[in-house]
Amino acid sequence: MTYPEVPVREAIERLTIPFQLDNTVEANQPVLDRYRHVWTPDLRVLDADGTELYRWNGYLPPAEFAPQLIAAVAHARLRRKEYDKAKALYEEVLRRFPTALVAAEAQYYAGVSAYRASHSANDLLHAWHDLEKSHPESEWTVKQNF
Amino acid sequence: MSEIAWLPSLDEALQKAHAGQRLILMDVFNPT
Repeated sequence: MTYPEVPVREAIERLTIPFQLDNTVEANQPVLDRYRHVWTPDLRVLDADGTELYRWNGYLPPAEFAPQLIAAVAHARLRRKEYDKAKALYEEVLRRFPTALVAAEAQYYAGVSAYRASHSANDLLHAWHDLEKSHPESEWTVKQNF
Repeated sequence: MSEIAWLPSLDEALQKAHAGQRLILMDVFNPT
């Protein structure tokens, strides 16, 4: 089980309002249909009006779940144009979980959120330069080479 | 060790989100 682990529980409780839905219960079908549910585990970050801001599927062990959750909330904050909050969460991923699977993506979007906040190309290029050094084989390093 | 206080419905989560700053985490699971 991933959820009893302290870093996972701490991140869920600090950053989110957690809500669980059993996909075998008939009464839950309207919500499952609303979100086009297909496969479990199915995790979504939602806005206060129910808008989906980020989602992922599949089991992750605690060492990967905690950084994925923090990055997911960062993505949601970025979509809400809360650039400083997004950047702080991406940086938390990089500081606490530098070898996580989601670290390269967090590095990429740390640059995006910094750029959106400052409008300075240097912020973007600095973050992406670090990405190229830290994760040279990542798909996110490929994606920065436009 | 305390357990996560998962809310049981989307409506409750939306109400709580409207009243605060946190976003909602929805976890759809299959118990079997």
